[in-house]
Amino acid sequence: MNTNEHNNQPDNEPVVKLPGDERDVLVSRIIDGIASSEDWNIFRAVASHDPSIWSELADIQQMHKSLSDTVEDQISIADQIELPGGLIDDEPLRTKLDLVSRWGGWAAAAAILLVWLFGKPAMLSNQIDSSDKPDIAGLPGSGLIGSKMLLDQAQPDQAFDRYLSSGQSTGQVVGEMPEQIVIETRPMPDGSIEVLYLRQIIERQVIDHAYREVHNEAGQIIPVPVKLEPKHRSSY
Amino acid sequence: MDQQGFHESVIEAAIAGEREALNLLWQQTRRWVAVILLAHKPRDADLDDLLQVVAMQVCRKITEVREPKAFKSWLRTVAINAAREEGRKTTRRKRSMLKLVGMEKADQRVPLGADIAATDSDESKRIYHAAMSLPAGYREPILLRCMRSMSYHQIGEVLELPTTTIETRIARGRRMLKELLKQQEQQSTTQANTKAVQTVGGMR
Repeated sequence: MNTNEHNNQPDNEPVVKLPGDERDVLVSRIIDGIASSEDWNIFRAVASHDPSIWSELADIQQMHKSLSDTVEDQISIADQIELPGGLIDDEPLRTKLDLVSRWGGWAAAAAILLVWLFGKPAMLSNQIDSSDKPDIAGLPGSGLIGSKMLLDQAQPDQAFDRYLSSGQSTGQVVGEMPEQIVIETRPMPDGSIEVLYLRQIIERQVIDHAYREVHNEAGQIIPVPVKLEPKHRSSY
Repeated sequence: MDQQGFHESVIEAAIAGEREALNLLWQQTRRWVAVILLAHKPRDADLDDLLQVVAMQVCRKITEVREPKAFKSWLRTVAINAAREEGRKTTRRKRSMLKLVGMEKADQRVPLGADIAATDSDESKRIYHAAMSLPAGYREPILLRCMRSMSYHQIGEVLELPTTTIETRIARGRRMLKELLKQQEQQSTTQANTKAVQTVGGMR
């Protein structure tokens, strides 16, 4: 470190002044516990004429400690994340995944895999059905279910499409979020992949009163009226 | 053996597809991967989700790493890409949601502190968010240094920068952070004083 020494001080001790960056580095080294004995000597020399370096050290030390605690707390979740099993030695499976993932991200890869492995997904089937089958009672894409087939005879995708279109017509269903969230993927013994994913539906209800369930003195659950305030999700 | 505690041969074995070596490598690197994700992820993205994405990528693409020395910077790139992709997805998801519920002009800000534990004090949250607002070149080494086990040299290996540069960035970044916090304090004091004056004025 460069030092500027002046001998015209009343006590005749040299005044050590450090340029900003070197002062910062010196303080940082002490905080990180890597200061050499020479660093300490320089620090003492600076502090003897500029005691503010002590409070600077204390402030940055405290800030670093607080930040370290927060970061350590945040990243502790990493200890629970293990590598997914079975993929690395499964060359054909990896090739399939690489092929589909070129189209953008793992979620997209999973969505394409769904098409590949299980046929058309619900959203696609909705579009296909609506193009080649008549709409029933003004419900787009209602297909077979809207006309002849009973609900308990329908395939899950068909029943789900029926729920969406019917719900939208009555106003109970606002819509389905376009992205499907992949929760888990597992390679199967036959080389295929099992994908667990989340579909998100937004529904609406119009209500006159709202109640909250609370326990009374006897431990029974009773409804208590709640006054609702207008509420928006601030994150959206 | 490098300073982070694993042999180059372990990295080589992992690149060659040996499961045990790859697991060992992941266990020794996942914490700093988490820090890289923290430094680059959108505020409301889940860290554990992103870690799983990176873990998946490590399994799938480790064989693409050409030499053991390139492993750490490769892993950092994988983490940054995962965080950025999540940022793009979050933006798309929010736009879709807003269109769906007719709230295009709604406030899109995430509440301060929504991404860190409720148990952290207000001061800790303030310091953390101030650190996250530093330029990436300072933010990354400062956060990595918060992992007590990581030396300047190891941080330099991950960021592909000389140790002296890391040392300077950490020192300078800490000063910047201190000044930023001081500025915020002054602003909140000024605002509080203005409010007090307005209240007194209103009482007359």
